[in-house]
Amino acid sequence: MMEKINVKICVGTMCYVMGGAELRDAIESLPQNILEHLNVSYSPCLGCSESEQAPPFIEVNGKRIAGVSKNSLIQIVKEEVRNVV
Amino acid sequence: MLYDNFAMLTKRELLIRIVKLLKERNLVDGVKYIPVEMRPRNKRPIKCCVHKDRYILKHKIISILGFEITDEEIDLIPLSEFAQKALDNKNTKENILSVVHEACSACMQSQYFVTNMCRGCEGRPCLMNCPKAAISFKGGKACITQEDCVGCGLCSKVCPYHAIVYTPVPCEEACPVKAITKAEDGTEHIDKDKCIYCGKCMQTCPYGAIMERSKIIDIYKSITDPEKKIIAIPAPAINGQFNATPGQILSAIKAIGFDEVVEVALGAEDTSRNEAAEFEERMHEGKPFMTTSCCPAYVGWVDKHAPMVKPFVSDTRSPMVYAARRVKEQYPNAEVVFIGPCLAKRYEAETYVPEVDYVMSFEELGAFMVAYDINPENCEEQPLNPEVTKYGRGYAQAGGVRNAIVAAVGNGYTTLSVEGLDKKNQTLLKSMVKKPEAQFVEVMACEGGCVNGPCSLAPLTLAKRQIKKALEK
Repeated sequence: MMEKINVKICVGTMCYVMGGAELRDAIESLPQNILEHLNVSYSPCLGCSESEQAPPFIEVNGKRIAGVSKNSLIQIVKEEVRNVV
Repeated sequence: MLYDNFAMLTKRELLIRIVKLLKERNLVDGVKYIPVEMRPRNKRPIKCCVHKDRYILKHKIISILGFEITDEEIDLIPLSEFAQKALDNKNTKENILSVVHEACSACMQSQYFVTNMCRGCEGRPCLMNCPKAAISFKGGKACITQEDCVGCGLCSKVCPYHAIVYTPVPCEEACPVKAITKAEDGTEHIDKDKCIYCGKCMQTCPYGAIMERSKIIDIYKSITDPEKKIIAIPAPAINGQFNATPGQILSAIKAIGFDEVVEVALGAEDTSRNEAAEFEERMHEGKPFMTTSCCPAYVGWVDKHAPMVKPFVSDTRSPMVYAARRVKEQYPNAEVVFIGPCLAKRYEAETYVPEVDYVMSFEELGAFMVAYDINPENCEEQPLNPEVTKYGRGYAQAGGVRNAIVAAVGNGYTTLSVEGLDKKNQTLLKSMVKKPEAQFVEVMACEGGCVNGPCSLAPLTLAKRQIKKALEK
């Protein structure tokens, strides 16, 4: 069994207001052949308040990525999956 | 449209930072750092340099603090002084919408324009098809004489290289009533006598140069004043703004510090009842048709641009009015804050509705939620008022008022739902005076209804889904 990619999505209010409202929908709408490689979890805050970078945030395999949009999230995740498969 | 725009996020970040400073009781000292923190030297500037960027932010902050940005004297006044003034006095300024001239890029006058892609081909269909002989060839390239051009766009359509483009002025293009126009220096100005406060220009400007006047300072002062009772009345569209249930959203709003939260949907029940009665009465009297009156931008349009439609607009008041009245009956000394996605409600509340003390936008509500660290998803479910039906909550979307009226008066009448006040719909509404298309006409200035209002927080797709969920319950 291949190792899954850990994707953590911030669902905190800051990220929600600053453009992340649809991140959860975006990840859940991915096709099954991509979702099966993912280990998706949600976090109330990925520590953006201390960061100088712009929300919304996600974490992919422990690496924090700032300023994510609905479209860039899908791209990032697909790219990661392509690297493993 | 909502999230594909960094100017909108800039406005939200400013709101969040200001509310955070308010909460930390550090506004006067802290406000001057905002422009520097948001536009640091090591980041690429958006305009010519960081100083211009910071200067624009300063002006936007002044606008959020509730001041008008008109004369040059404001350059001499530090931000902290504005903050102190805002905290000391109640905001009584009149204009609701203003242009931040520093941010306005003074876009080129709308025109058709020949780009470098022109190859000066032998065919020259632009030259041949122009009905006004406005095109000539200079140095082997097409050139439009702007004085002769009437803007028909034929040249652009026939050019095989797509070399002729149309350069719009976004705010002017978005304004349905031509209320925003250029001054001599090229910046935009809003004509208050024409403006219907639909908010389209504000939503469209890619520089975020059009700002609404905010009342958050006054609202914050009332929330934190232990002597005052302050009651929030959120519009039905609130149910689409968060990934949470209606009950959770109500308790999230309460958590900010409101003493009570009453759904405007409760007032919508009164509107439906009165509107249905008024409609039946008018039909009985033999009137040809009646339109709704709950959308303040539409009512503004009728008042300022289509007086002939006025006799056909219902006299029933909007849900906001009835909800506020109910609150004031119960708590005569309480202050009432309407929370909604609408800019025109600010105008309605200030001009016709003494029962409403303040209007707050969904964006501002979002800023409060962030600053107070409230996540509606984690809030506990507040019991909903059983008096509110799905018809009352349905006012959030276009077609909602019509559904409520049909439910009350039955299927015996013809109905129509008009969404958006574009040119076509304006003509349609005006023509109805002579030739009514239906007996009951619902009019919403925003396509899709309130859920698509100019001060919304959630993207439309998400908002629509959440409202659907809320109505199913």
